[in-house]
Amino acid sequence: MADDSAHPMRLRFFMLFIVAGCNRTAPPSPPEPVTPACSRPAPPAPLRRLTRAEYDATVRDLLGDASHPSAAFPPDEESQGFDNFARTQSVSPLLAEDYGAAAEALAATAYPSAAFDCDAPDETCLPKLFTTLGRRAFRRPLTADERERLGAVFAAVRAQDDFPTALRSVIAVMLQSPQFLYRFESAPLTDYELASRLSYFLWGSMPDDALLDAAATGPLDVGAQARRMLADPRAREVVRRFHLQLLGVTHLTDKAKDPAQFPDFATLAPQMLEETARFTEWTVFDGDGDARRLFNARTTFVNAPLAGLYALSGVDGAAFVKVDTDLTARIGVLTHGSVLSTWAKADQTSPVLRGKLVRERFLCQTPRPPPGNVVAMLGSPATGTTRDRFAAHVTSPDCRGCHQLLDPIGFGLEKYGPIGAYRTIENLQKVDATGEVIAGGDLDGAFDGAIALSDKLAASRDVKRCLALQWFRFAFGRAETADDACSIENAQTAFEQSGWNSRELLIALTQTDAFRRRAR
Amino acid sequence: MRLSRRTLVRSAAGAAIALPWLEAFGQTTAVKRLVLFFSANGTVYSRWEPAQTAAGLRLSPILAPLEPHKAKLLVLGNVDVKSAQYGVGDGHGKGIGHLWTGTELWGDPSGANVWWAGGPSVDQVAADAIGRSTPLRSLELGIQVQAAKVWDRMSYRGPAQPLPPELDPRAAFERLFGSFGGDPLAAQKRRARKKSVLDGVRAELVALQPSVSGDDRLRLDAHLTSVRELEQRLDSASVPASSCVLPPKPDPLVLTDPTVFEQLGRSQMDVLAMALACDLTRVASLQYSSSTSGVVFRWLGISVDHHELSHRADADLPAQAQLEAIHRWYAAQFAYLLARLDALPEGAGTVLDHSLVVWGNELGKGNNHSHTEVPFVLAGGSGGVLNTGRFIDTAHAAHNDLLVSCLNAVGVPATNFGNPAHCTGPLPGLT
Repeated sequence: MADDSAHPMRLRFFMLFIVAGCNRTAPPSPPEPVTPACSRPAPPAPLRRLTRAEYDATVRDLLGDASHPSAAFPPDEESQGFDNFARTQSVSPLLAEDYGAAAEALAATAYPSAAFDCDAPDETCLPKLFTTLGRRAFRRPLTADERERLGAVFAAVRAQDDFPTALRSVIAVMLQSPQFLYRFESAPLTDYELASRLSYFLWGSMPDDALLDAAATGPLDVGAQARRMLADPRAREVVRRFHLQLLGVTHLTDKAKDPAQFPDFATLAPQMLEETARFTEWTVFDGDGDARRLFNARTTFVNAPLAGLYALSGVDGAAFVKVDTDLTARIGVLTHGSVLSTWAKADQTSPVLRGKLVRERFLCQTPRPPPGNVVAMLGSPATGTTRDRFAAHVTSPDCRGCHQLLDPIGFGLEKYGPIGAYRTIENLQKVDATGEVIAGGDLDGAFDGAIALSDKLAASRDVKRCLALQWFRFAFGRAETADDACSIENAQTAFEQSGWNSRELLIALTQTDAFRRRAR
Repeated sequence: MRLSRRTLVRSAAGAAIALPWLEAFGQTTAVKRLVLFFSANGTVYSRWEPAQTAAGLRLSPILAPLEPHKAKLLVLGNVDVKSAQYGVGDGHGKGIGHLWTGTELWGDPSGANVWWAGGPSVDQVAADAIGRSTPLRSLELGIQVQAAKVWDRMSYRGPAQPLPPELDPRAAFERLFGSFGGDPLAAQKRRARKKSVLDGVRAELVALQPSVSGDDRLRLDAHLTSVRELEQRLDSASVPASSCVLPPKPDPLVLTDPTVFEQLGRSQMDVLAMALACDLTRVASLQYSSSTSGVVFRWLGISVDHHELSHRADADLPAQAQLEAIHRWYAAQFAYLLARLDALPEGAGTVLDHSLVVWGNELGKGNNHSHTEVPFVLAGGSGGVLNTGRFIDTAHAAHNDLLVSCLNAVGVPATNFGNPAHCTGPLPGLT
C-alpha cells in the first residue's frame, strides 16, 4: 500500500479535477499530485442536517411513524449531485415552520404509544421519557442541562394544560431540537457520535439500540458494526439513493418530454426510476458485489411498460422481473431509460448532456460552465442527425476546446432516443454511434456505441476510483479536501484489492481517518 | 366567508383571538408592499420593448396582454445586470442569483462549485423594514421550480441563505388561512402552548451556539432567526384592507403535472392576492419554474422545451415566434396578478395601487446568455410614488440602481444595494 500511495498517477482522480484551459487541443495535464499522509490533520467535518429522507427514516425508527412527514418540507438543497452536502443546507423560515408542524403531529401520536412506555401519568414519566425516547432521539444520553430545559417546557405547558399535552410538548421540542435535526459532533469524536456516523452513512437513519448500547460501553468496533449494518435492509435504501443521485435521475418524474413524440413518458418515468433503483441495489448486494456490473451487466429489472420501451418480449404486468439482456441493446446503467431520458432534451437527445454525465459523474471531472459571452445557437431537430447539428461545436475553434471533451462521448449514445428507445435511423438517416473519450485518463480512446463505451467504463480503473470518490462525497456530505487524500486513497486501494466489491468499499470508508477522526 | 367587523370584534373579545393577526383593522396608515415576479430564459427584446409616444405608452407584442393595466405600468428598457459580469457561475445561475441581490455568487474560485448568492435579495431587505409587523415577514411562492440549486433560488435571507418557495397552493393556503375560524378560547390556549414549545426550541439552539463556529455557526444562526420569526408571528398584528375575505381553498392539482402549469400559477396568485389584502404579509415573490426553465409550452403548440428553444439562432424565425408566444403568455400571467390585486379595494384605491410589483428575468437573451437588455416591468406605483403609464429607456443603467429605487419606493431610505461597485444610487426619472 505504501508503494501505491507513493505513485503519483494513482492520485490523479481524487483531486477535484477541473478541465482547465479548454482551448488547447492537447489533453489538460493532471493537477499536482498530493502525497497522501494520514498524519495530516483530519479535516473539519461540517454540521450536518438530516436530509428529508433521513428525517423520514429516523422518525420511522424512533416512533414507528412511516408517514414520510418530510414530503411537506421544501426539497433538500443539492450540490455536486448530492442532496446531503452540509454546506449548502439551510433552515429557512418555511422549513422551520414545517419542522414545527411535523413535530406536533408526531408528538400527538408518540404519547401514549409503544415507542415510549409510561402507563401511569405521573412524575416518573418525564425522567423515563428522557432515558428512553430522549436517548434515542438525541442519539446519546441527555445532559443535565437538557433535562432541566426540557423540564421547564413541561412545567410551562402543564401550568395551563393537561399532562398528555405537556408531555407531547416536550416531545415536540425534542423533535425540533438541533440535537435531533443535526448531527452535532465534538473533537475527538465520542463513541455515540461515531455510532451516528455509522448509522447515517449505512442506514440513512438513527442508530439502533444495539449500536447505542455498544457506544455506551465503548470503544465501538466500527468494522464489525459496519458489517452487521450492511446486512440490514436499511442499507439497501441508502445504496439506491446514492445511485439515483450519482446518476442525476432524481428529478426524472418532473421532466417534461414532447407529448406528441412521447405520450407515455409520464407513466414510464417512475418505472424507469424503479428499474435503476433495483438494478443498482442488485449490483451492490448480489453475489460478490462486483461494481463493474454497474456498467457491464447484461441484466436488468423491468415490467411490461419498460419491456415495451426496450423491445423485450415475454414480460407481462406491472411487477418487475429480472431479465437477461444478452441479445439486446441494453447493458448496465448507461442504457437505462432513466439515465438516457434525464440526460436529454424534451424532443431530442443531447450529446453534450450525455457527455457531461460520463465526465462529471463517472470520471469525477467538472466541466467548465459555458462562458457567458459565447453565442450558443442550435438548429432545429426536424431534419438531419443530431451529430450533424452539433458538428459546429467541434469545428468552431471557440467551442471546440470544451465540447470535444463532451460531445464525442455523447455521440456514442446516439442510438438511444430522448427517452431511451433504441433507434438506428434518425430523420431518415442512419445513426452513427462512434465516439471518443479525450483527456479521460484510462478511459481515453475511440469506441462504437453504448456497449463498447460501457465495457470501457467497466474496465477503467479511473472510473472505479471515481466511484469510490463519489461514495466518499456522499458518505461525508461534503467535497473532498487535500487533507482527505490519504483517506480516499486507502478506500480506493481496499476497493481495488477486493476485486471492486462495492460492499467492501463501504466497509473501507468506515475505516478511514476521515470517518474516525474529526478536527477541532 | 367574509371577515366582517363583527367577526373580528367578537374574536378580539376577552383577548381570545382566533385570528391573531387580525387584531387591528380598519387601516389608516399607508401600507406598502413589494412583490417580485420571475420568468426565465431571457426575452426577444425587439418584440418586448414598448414605445413612449406622444399618446403615451404603446405596448409591444409581448407586453400586449398588459393593455388593461397600462396606466399602472412603468416599463424599463435597456437595463443591464452589470454585477453578473463578475464572480463565479454560469449565465443562468448568475442571472437568477444576481437578479434581486445585485452581488456575486459564493462558490469555489475555480467555478466548479457554485453554492448560493452572496447577499440578501431586495425583497428581504425590504422585509426588514416593512415586513416586521405582519404574521409572515415574506411569502415565497413558486410554480414547478425545477430543483434546489443556485439556478432555482432567487430570494435570499442573507448570504448563502436561499429561501425555498412554497410550490403547493393548498399548502400555502393552509399556512396563511388555516387557522381562520375555530373556538377562540382553544386558539388562545394553542397559541400559549406553541409559544412554550418555540421557547424550548430556541433554548436548545442557543445552547448549541457556543460550540459551533464558521460556516456551521452561520447556518445555525439562520435557523435560530427562522425560529424567532415563528415566535414573532404569534404576536403579530395586521392591517387588513376592507376587501380581505377568506378565499376558497385551491383545487388539488398534481404539482409535477406539466399540463397544470398555468392553473398552479393562478392558484398561487389567488392565494397571494388575498394574503396581501389581509395583510398577512407585505413582501412576496412568485417564481415560475427556474432559470434554464425546461417547461414545454404544449398549450401554445410548442413541443421544444423553453431552454432549448431559447438557444435557437436569432435567424431561426419559427423559434423566435415561439419564444415570443412564451413571453406573451408570461405577460398574460403577470396581467392576471395585476388584475387580482387591482380588484381588491383598499382605502381610496386598490391593493395594487399600494404595491410595487416587479417582473424580472435572469437573462436578456437566451442564446448568448446576455445580462444586458434584461426586461423589467414595474407595476402598481407603490402608493403614488412611481410615475406610471410610461416607458423609460434607461440607457444601460445598472440594475442595482433599479433595486435601490424599488427599496425607496416602498419607503426604505437606501442609497446603495448589492455590490456597491455596480451601483450609483436610485435610477433617475421613475418618480
